[in-house]
Amino acid sequence: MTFPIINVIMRTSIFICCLLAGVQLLHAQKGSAPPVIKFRSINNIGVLQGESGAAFQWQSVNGVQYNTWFAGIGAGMDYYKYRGVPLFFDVRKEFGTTTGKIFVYGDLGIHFNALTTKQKEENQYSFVYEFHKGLYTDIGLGYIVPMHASGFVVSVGYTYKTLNQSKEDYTPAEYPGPPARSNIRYTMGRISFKVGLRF
Amino acid sequence: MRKNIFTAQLLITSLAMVFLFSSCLKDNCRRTYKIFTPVFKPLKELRAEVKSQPAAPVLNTGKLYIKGNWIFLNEVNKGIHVIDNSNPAHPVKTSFINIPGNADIGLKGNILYADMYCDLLAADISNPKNITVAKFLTNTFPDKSYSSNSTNPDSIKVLISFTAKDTTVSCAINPVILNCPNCGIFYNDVLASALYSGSSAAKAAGVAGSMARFATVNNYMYAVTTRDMNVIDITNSADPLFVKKKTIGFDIETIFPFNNQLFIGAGSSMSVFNLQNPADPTQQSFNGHWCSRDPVVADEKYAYVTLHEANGCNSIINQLEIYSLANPTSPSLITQYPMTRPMGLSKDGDLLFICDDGLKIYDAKNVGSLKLVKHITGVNTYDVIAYGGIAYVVTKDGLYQYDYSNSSDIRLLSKLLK
Repeated sequence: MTFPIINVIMRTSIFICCLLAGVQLLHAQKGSAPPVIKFRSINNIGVLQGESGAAFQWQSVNGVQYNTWFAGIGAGMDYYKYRGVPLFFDVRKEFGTTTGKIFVYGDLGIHFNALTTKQKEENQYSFVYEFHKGLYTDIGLGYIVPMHASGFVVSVGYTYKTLNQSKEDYTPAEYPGPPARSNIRYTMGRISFKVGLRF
Repeated sequence: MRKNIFTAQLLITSLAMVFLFSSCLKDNCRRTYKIFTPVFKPLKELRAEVKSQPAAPVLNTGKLYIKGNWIFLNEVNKGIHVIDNSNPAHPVKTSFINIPGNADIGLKGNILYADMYCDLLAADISNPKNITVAKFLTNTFPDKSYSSNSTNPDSIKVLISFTAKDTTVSCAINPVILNCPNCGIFYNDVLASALYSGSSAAKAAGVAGSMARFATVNNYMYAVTTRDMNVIDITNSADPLFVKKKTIGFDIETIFPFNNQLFIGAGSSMSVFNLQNPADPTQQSFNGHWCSRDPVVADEKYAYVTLHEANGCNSIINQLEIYSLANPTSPSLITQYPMTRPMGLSKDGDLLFICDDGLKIYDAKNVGSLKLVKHITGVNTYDVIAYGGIAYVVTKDGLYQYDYSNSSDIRLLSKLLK
């Protein structure tokens, strides 16, 4: 009975530490530079860790940076459990100096299915089955190490995706009632670790 | 120094993310489906509902039977429309015979035979607008009743419908059999009769279509279910007597009587039974084909079978097959014609009528080279009876009649719509 309470206290304490760290980072900024608008391309590979194990991912996010804000469109490949292609809108905010910047990011978009042959074969006994696109989100923070005009990027976050499926299964001859139709919703929450390059 | 602080803060924050969100690292699967719960009614109550009523709208057309100037058109699971066809250009609905669970029709003289769930009903239609029940042959189709071995109508219950309710459960705990969420709460072949339509009867009693499950030949009626053939003695029309039931195959769909034989269409075969002993038809031939739905008609020389794709078959066969009956014990496939999705068919003289993408009428003088005489489109056809120069076509929205007395000028005579 006490374990859940300790868990809550620990999480709350860590969360407060993060907030304080964030406030400190904000105060570390000195003055304000003139507005800068430039095109950015952020290309990552990484690992997804969830209840079903670890899986590979890669992404490319391209957009426009205005001062410390970035907005762009991203796409990639997500190999976790049911392989898919996320397509999303990405927003980032940077904090820090030219020697190193912390950033927070948020992604929201669609997860298109791109199942492997083996994953499709799981449904081979269904009369009809169809997968539909789902939701894709990712939120986290990272660090940029500047390298001349580019930068090395590392980030960690929580990512969530869904997948929907409609099925119609064979009804045995002994049970000729209404067809066996169902809709299935898969939801997957993962931790996402990414490294990459920013241009 | 500042950089070290930043790095440390990033590390702490990263670890914090892991701890904070570790409980969210879950994969979930939820299945939503409709649970169908059967609704039963005592047979005694259903029998009390059989009566003539005023004419009703044609909503869900089923099988068809023609006798003289009268057309009997099934309303699936509800009963039979009685249509005065004295003037085929102006057919008139005169009444509706309420028969719960009805799908098939047969006739001998003034006695109409109809299935009513598990019962066989014999009704006197001397006055088609006001029928009288002659007899219920109890539990002739026991696979449609709950108490399959009983002959006591007071104790027999019949499945009449389902209530549906949306349900969402975890995929892991969903109790399915072969991924079938509702299996286990159904039993018996309760929906078989309603799934197929068409009508059949010997020409002496009237004329029926190719999709029927009833056939009346002289003093016997033959009613097929998905597995069995029920033989019923109708020597005394108003007092049908159950003779025997014999298992003749599986996935049986239609029966067509011709030339003292019964042509049986099944999901994967066509077989022919001879009526040398009418009380006990014996199989004289069997021809297998790809799994599909297949009504069959025949003439002196050939049997004509339409095959169309259907759920549960996992095949996409849509074609007309023609078999030679030169050797009655071994019909041989002589030719095939690709079709769109053919349903019922009928033949009168050299003209072959096929319900396919509307109605197609062929000159079948040379079966090896059918000639399309006319293709009527824009009609969702189900079954057809070609008789006496009129093609009676059951469609999704009603009954159409075409005059084919002049095959070079086939014309629409009338439509009986909802």
